[in-house]
Amino acid sequence: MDWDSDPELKKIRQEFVDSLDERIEKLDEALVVLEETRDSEGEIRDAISLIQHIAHKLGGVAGSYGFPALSRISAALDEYVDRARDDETDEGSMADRVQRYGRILGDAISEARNGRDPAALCETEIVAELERLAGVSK
Amino acid sequence: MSEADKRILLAEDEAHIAKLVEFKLSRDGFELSVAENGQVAIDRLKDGPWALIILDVMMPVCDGWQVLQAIREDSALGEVPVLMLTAKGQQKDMANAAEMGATHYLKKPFDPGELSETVKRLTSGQEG
Repeated sequence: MDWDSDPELKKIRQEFVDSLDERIEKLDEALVVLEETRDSEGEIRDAISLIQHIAHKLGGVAGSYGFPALSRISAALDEYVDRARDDETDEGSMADRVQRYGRILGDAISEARNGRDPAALCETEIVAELERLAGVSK
Repeated sequence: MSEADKRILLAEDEAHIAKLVEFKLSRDGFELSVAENGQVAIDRLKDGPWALIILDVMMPVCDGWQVLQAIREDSALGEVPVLMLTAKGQQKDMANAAEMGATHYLKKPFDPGELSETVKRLTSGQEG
């Protein structure tokens, strides 16, 4: 899609890119909870749910705006959380992984915020690990 | 297209998807009515006629499956094609869509061009 072909289309895309600031902010807040709050299961669970929600929403929209790599990483994190819950992974292990993958998602969102699809991140070992655990094929 | 052939009801809670769909389909000559959750969509069903109803699956208040059920239980909407949108294109969702009477299913993130072609096909009377 040629995003510069129509001024209104260009504006809509820029609004999406601008909205990434708020998503980064919410993601960072949830990641801080995972880093600092290991005594409250409820807070950990809520933080993981919020991170998954951010990932789920981004997974469904970013690719449509020309950021397929951001969608890919987001969808993998969303899928990982579902699988970890289905497998009854212990909360501590899940929190560690979600924190780790959440940081990568934050990096990916920052790249997109600067107008670049984070394709290079998709080639890293950590994303390969995330996709393997999520059961996502490339 | 007659006026009735142009009206599409879109139920989608992600504003940026709604904006993109509205932009693309309005350029194709359609008139969009956007419902931000499933209950608003159900309330708007009576405001047809609709050439097509597009439903996101995961929405607050009522999800896309509940809206689809309401559509299929309404004899006045029997012939309206329904396109489901979901970020989780799992086999069970696709089977569910077919079983509950959805006409077609698109996995997010969708290509706007593919959405456009799908909508044109569904509103021209060609099945998905």
